[in-house]
Amino acid sequence: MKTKTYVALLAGSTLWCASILLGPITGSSAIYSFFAMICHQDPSRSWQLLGEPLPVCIRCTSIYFGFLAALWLRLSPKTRWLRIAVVFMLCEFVFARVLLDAALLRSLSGILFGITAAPFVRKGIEEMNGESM
Amino acid sequence: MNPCKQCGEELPDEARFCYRCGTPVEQETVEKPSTVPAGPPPPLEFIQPALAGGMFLGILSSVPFISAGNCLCCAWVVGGGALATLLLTKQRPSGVALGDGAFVGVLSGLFGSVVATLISIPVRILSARFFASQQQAMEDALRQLGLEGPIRDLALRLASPEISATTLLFTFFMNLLVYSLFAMIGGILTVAILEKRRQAPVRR
Repeated sequence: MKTKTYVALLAGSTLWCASILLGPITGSSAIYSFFAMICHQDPSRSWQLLGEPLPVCIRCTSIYFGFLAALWLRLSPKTRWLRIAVVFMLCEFVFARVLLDAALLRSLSGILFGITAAPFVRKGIEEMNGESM
Repeated sequence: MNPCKQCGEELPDEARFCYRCGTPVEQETVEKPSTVPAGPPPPLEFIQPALAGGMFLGILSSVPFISAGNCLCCAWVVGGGALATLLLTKQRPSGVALGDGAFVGVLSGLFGSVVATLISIPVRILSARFFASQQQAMEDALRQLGLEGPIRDLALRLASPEISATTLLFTFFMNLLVYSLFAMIGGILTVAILEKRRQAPVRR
């Protein structure tokens, strides 16, 4: 069932991800300034678009796009997978500092976390708004 | 039929004494499960956990250098929401709903944005020298971009070391937006990971 919360969350997440892509396309400093609040914006740890780095790092980009994909696919919440995703991300974070810092691993852990977190966030907001039974 | 424990005489189920030796018969008492349903769980107190979470995220997000932790996916803010939810679950060990975690997260984000905005005042005063150089850099950048008019004035006012209503309001609303969102996510995911949640009450 599509609730008002779901539609609003989907629209907000799509806008959020679109603005990440619009940063390098438009070169808007306002977009980069906004995302500077929540990301280190290290160009060497960010994907590039049209020769410019995205306003958030690879891990953040993966989380947000994984989150958006899960919303579009309307996945159901799975606690076990969320726990696996959190543990995987923490392990990858530590692993990157002591052994190997790979963009692919950052991306995979981010996507997994975003995908598993989104259904819970959707359900939580629906419950808060009194839309969930 | 029950046998008498004293003499072994077979007695009917309803017998209270052995009609042969007079020994009292112990009646088996079967405890019936209580048919009275458990009452509704006590209402949750959201303000105190939210204040604790708000103080945590507000202070850590506004102290220079330490605030860099927010570069890791808003770690302090998400942590503040998680802390508020952990304190909330202590009130009800049977678990809280995802919606409760979301609500206490939003509240802690709100309190945190107030705390962070208040702390930003002395931080700005103390780091005025740094802001002065930042303003010069901002002026140069705006000149290169060719920006004029109200947008340029607003940008310069925000970068100014002076504390004005504009800078405080802008800081507050930006903090409110980001902190409420990420603290809410922290609250929801903490409930989900702990999995001590119960079904949300139907609200009509």
